[in-house]
Amino acid sequence: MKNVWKTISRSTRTAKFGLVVMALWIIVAVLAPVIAPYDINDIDIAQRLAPPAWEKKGTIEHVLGTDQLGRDVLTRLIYGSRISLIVGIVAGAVGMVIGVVLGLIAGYFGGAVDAIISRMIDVMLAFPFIFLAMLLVAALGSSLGNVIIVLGITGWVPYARTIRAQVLSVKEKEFVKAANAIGCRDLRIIFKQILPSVVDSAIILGTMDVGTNILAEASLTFLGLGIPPSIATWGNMIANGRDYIFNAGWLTTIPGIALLIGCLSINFVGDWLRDVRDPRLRGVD
Amino acid sequence: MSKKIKLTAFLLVMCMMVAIFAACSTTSGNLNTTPTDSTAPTHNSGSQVPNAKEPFTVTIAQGSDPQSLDPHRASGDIGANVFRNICQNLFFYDENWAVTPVLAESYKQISDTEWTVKLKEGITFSNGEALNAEAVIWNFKRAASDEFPRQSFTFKNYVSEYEAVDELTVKFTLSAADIFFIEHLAEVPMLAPAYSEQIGEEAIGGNPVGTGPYTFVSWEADKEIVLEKNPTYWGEEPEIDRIVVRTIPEAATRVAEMVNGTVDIIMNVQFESTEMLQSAGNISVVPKKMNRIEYIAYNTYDWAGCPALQNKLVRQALNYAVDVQAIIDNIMGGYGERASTLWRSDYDGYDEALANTFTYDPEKAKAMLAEAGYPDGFDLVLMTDVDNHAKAQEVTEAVGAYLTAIGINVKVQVLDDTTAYAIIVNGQEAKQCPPMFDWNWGGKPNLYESTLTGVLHSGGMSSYNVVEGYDAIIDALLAETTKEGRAPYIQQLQQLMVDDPACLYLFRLYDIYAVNNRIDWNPINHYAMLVSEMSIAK
Amino acid sequence: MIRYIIRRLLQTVLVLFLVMTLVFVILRVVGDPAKMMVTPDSSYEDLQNIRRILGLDQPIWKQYLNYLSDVLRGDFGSSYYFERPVIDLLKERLPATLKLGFISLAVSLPLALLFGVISAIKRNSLLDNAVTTFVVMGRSIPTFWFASLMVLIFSVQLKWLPASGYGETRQLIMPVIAMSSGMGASVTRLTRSAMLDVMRQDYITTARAKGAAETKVIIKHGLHNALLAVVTFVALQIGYMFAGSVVVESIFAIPGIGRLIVTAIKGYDFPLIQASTLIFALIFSIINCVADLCYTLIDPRISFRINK
Repeated sequence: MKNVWKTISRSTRTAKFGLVVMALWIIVAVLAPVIAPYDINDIDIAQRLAPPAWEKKGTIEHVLGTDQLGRDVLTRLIYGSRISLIVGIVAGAVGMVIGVVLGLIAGYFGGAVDAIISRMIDVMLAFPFIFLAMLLVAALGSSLGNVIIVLGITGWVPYARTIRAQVLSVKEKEFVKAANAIGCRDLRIIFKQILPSVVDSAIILGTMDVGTNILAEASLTFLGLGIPPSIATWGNMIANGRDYIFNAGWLTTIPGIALLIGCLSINFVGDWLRDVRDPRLRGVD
Repeated sequence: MSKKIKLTAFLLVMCMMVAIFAACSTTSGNLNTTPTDSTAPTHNSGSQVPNAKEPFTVTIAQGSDPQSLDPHRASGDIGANVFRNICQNLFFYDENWAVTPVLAESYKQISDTEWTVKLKEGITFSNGEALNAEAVIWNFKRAASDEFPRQSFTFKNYVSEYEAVDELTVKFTLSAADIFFIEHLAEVPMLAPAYSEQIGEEAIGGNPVGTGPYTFVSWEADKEIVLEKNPTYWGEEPEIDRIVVRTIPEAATRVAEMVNGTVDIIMNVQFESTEMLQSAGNISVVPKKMNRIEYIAYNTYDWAGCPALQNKLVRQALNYAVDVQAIIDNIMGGYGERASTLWRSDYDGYDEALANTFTYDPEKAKAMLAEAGYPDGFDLVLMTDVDNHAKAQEVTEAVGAYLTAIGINVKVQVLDDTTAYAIIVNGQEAKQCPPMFDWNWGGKPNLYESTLTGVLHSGGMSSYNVVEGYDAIIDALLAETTKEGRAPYIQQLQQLMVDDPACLYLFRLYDIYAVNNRIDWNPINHYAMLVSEMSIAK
Repeated sequence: MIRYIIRRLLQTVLVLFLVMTLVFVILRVVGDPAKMMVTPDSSYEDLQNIRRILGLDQPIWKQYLNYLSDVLRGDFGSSYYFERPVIDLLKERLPATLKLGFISLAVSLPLALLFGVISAIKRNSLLDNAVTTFVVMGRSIPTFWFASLMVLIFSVQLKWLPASGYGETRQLIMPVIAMSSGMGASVTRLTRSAMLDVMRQDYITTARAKGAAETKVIIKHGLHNALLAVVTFVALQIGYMFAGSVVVESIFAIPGIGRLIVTAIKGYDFPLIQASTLIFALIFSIINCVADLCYTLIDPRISFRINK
């Protein structure tokens, strides 16, 4: 614990900013029902498109205004932080697990297994992610769970590539060779010897991936194949508010800024983590 | 190889790639541009001052490219807004939405199933082909063919025999008597047969030739379609010389172009944008009555899992529970016409007395629910799709809120267009359709039959109405072959829709247009967007 | 070298075949295109008729074999929605997408390299911080929001640029900016870290020690190395670029392939989806083959990349 604090206190200014924002973000997401001024589904058609407090006709009741259904924008922003975070983290985790497992297998066993996994990677790369994601959403139906799964199974490639390359180099290290020589089982070697030495990279990639996934979810929603509009995510709020961009600009600007700051802080933290923990990863995206 | 050479080689390969890409994009880009296009002035129409030399261009922006300009295959308004200016029908709707002869001179009913139509003399297609009886028959046969998956209308098995009585007279023998025969004639646009056969089936959609006031010039995919005045047009010469139909997918971008004056007409405008459009100073925002009624359908099948909806009192109660007028005023910006049944006001035998049956009365609704045995409400899933029309979700959410207010536990399920369509259309066997869903139904002026067979009759593709009584009345009504014979059933059906509702009736939709003031055209009176009816503002 | 090329080609063919099969399988799960094609007032017979005409009533293995043999004969079928040959539809729209992508790369890559190098050399300077901030911004902003904002500001309020369209150079400015920002940011970052990596290497120190001019060291060793990383990266990121293109094409009404594909997926247009995925995979493979060849050509040390 002491070490963590030490590292953080020595971090760059941007990383500190990122960490603070992320901490706030997580707190808001967890406490959403407590701090949100209204109920998430409070629809009040009579109050639709009320401007935020700082505009001429704005009221203090809806500090950030209301949307086209009269829902409080601040409330949706707060709940949206939660769903967006879930989408980013869970989808990232799904991708990470698939990618790390495949990367480990491919790198460790090599040969035919490696060839198969490498072709899978080639196929995934030759298949624009947005395309595959849209197809999968069309096949599975649009729901929060499906979007997370889809982002996960389209997002494993960078993990697999990175981990595979690292396993290849770690495999040649003395301690692994030694374990092999004394006849340790493969699974044991993979989990006890190799995994710990590559897990850092996976986690750093994962941090970056959270931001990527949040943005990807927003793009999918924009294209009409994302999360159903009744669920509040930041991407969803922008996508659904864009028809009102001329007369109710706050509907897109406010979640847009939230998304920007959120991803900004994730990237700051990710960059910093990478610099501190694993300079090898520079240049991997 | 020395290092230097390698680096040079590498750079060379990169340059080659660059060159290949550049070449690819320029050459194929040129293929798409027709000569007319490069010589014609670009459509900066807003600032253009009309004079004798410069052609007066109207630029219309739509949200997507037409799937085809083949008038017998393309469905929906996106294509029709274009081809209706090129291809005309024997009869069409005039400014009062009444069917009037266009290419036809007159018609005569010989017997129950036999009709003759006489064509106007001396009409030719823009390529010089004559419009004669044979041409008309060719068009009807093509339109009725089921060799191709998509049809603009169901004319199959409708006419059993065509006969060219003389050069300008066609005799139709119907397989069954139909009081709306003339209205149906207004649905089949005429293509030039010889030319169309010559260019081949697949090419027609990209090069339609008709008798209309405009001819097809060019179509750049997903960019724009250009039409020009037909120099040999048989009718009155239109004032507008040139039509450019641009494709702009984003609603906000369409509005931006409209405000900048680079586009003259847009549709599907959100009423909230009205103020912004009007502040530009030279734009009129005008509504156009659509042939569509929006409603919330009841799924009364047993498997829907909502026995409450099988109770007549509940179905009525829901109609009392929703303040439809408030929804029209607040969400639709006042653009909408309250409908108390699915029987539109332009249909035969519309009963005005029933129009105000369902007034907003939540207390009454609650009492009826209690009487029906649901004093504490029940669970209900209400489905909507986002692209049904711009405000479909908002309307459904509002309805959900009203139903929640009388104690029903509503869950609004919002889906994308494709998913909802796949669930609703022919979903009776799949049994996935929720107990209530937002939907709308269109039909040509006066043609009520599709509403009956499609929505109210239990056999309809998107009908989940198995309330007793509907099928019997509809079958009896359609069996009658005269307007007089149908009248009592029409009355009965309207009464039934009130007494034992088949759905939660909402309103007739309007489409909001924005029109640049340099054009004199008010869409509200018009059934279709015919540029020949527009004139240059003085 | 020849053996490598042959092997590479075989791999490409295999990947294309796998992409084809994968798409085919996913599509059969997606849903029933016939339902998307009927008007709601059609009858059940109409629906059956459509399925028969499209051959969707046949067993799946038969559909798959038919599809494979058609593709081998160069026949990609007709779009369900447009009822025209898929190849024509793609040919009409591919140039716009390629042009947009190419110009975006041509604009963003040199700038990204320049700023990447400068910010690596002047590490922690004001400029470096500015570049880093820009990079993170570029990676954090949703393309469609950024694009809409530009329309609002430059087109509606300032009236400097046309809001949409394709053909004039002016109309390309905003789409290119929207497309380049993401890619540019990533490449800048990559260049910067690649440069930093290189500058730490022994041979750079040696070169410096031997008294080589600083600029020469930077250009000859640093940039050379960074360029390699950038080429590989860009070739592999074509898919992500394409995602941006789908969004940008929608907002600026550019007649490209991205919008066509969105329409196709929403309408369950099987032939169109199948053909466009295949074309994309083909383009991707060609670019990556070329990139690999460049790679081995320029630096034989790295030819182990054959086995990745």
